[in-house]
Amino acid sequence: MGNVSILLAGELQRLRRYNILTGGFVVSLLWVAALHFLQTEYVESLFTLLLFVDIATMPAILVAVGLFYERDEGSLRAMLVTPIKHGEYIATKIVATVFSSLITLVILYGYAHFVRGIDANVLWLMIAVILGSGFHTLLGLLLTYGTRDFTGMLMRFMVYALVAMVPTLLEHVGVITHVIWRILLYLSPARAVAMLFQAAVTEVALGDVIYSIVFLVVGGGILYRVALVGFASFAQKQGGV
Amino acid sequence: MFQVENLRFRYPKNTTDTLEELEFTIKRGEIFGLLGPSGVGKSTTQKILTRLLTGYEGTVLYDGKDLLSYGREYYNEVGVGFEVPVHFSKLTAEENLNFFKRLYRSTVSIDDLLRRVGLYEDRKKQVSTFSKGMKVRLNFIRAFLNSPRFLFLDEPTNGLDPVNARILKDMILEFRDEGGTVFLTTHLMSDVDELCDRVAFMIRGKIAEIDNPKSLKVKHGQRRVSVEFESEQGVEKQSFSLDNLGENPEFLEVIRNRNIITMHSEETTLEDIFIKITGVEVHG
Repeated sequence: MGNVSILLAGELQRLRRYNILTGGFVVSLLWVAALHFLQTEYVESLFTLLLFVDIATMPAILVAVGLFYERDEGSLRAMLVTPIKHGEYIATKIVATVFSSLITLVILYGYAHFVRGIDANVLWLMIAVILGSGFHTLLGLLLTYGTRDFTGMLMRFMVYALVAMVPTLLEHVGVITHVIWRILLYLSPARAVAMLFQAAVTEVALGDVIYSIVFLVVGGGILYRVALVGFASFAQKQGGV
Repeated sequence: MFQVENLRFRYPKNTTDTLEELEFTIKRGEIFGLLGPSGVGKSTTQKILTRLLTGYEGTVLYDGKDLLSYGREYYNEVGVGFEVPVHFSKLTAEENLNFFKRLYRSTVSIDDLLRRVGLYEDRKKQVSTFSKGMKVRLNFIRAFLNSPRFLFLDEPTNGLDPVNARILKDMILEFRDEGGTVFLTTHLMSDVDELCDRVAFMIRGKIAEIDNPKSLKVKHGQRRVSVEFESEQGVEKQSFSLDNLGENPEFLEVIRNRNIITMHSEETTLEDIFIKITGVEVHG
């Protein structure tokens, strides 16, 4: 845990200096701007939708940007010859992006609640942000391994967005209604995140909420193991393999 | 301290081995130089010893134990200076060092290290504004942050002016004199001559020759002395065998009766030995 706190302090310092955190902050302000021009009746549904889009995309992108910086500057190699464990490195990435996502939550919910008078279950919002952001950070790491540059990672992420995020959004706005599609969507981590956000503002079947939490926790655990194994191979590549 | 036996390594995309039955030992308290032309496997060897590369065949022992049996605590004992400076470019020099120092739970004084290499005044500047030489010096002192027992240094003085190169070389010698061990790879034969207690020449993934620089020079040089002196024809140069030199009438005649301009033993240079063993010119 000691190394994680040191790594985290360094990670947050770099997120700030490399303007990665600022990028996330600006995106949050754009979301606020988008909400600002909507009538209050639409804000309630759109605010969780924007949070969902942010949490399902930004962590993956932020972690990829950070990793590419570290790889290209060689500082990753310098870290690989210190006593830190690979698991500690990955855990730090998760905590840092979750922190960034929580800032987004504060900004968006702060605006929605205090300016537009929207009420939501903050506990559910936080659970959705923490689980969703953690899961998508790990996904971002996995998509980054083996890609040469950020564009390559984005291309991979676009595939994920098309397969997992777009159908979730289509279901949310009522375009996808067929039972088969809705069952298939239970395999989508994006839908699990969307379900938890929905639970913060409306009544959602308890089974769906529990399923979403278990899906993200278990899926996140599996992704962590895969990310850990993948990182060992990624680290070897820094050695020239 | 390190014992390497039958070390063999092949990069996954290659069809031939980069290292073939490599064998050498590094003794405690010595500066061991690994030399050879580019692409011969020096960096690969260093990456294996620093555990950046695994998947090799053969035996690598550190302090008598299999290198791979060590956990991450291994990095508390070794300091690594990479050939290319690796830093967080948007952090200051001080922030870079502080970050790594905390990872080692080290008590080393960063200010002392910065002062030693002449970077103290620039410690608050972003590394991206540093010159190449400044980055090299910062890279170098990062390897000292954990008070290591063993230092891996890859071209440590590359790109430095003579004054700063001297400072770094003095620090390496001090480290050795205080009991530290150094694994050095470089193309600069003057560095090797000044620093290394033993050197190994690599060709095609194997050690071709290993010895101390003095012995190598004697072995590969000629036991002769060349004398430049003034004569009726102008400046003349003659070479004499060192064997029974004091009884060589020609030599005695020259040093008694002529005005000597220069006199040198014909021991060879490490650069000549490098070329002779590896068949490659030194570019450095």
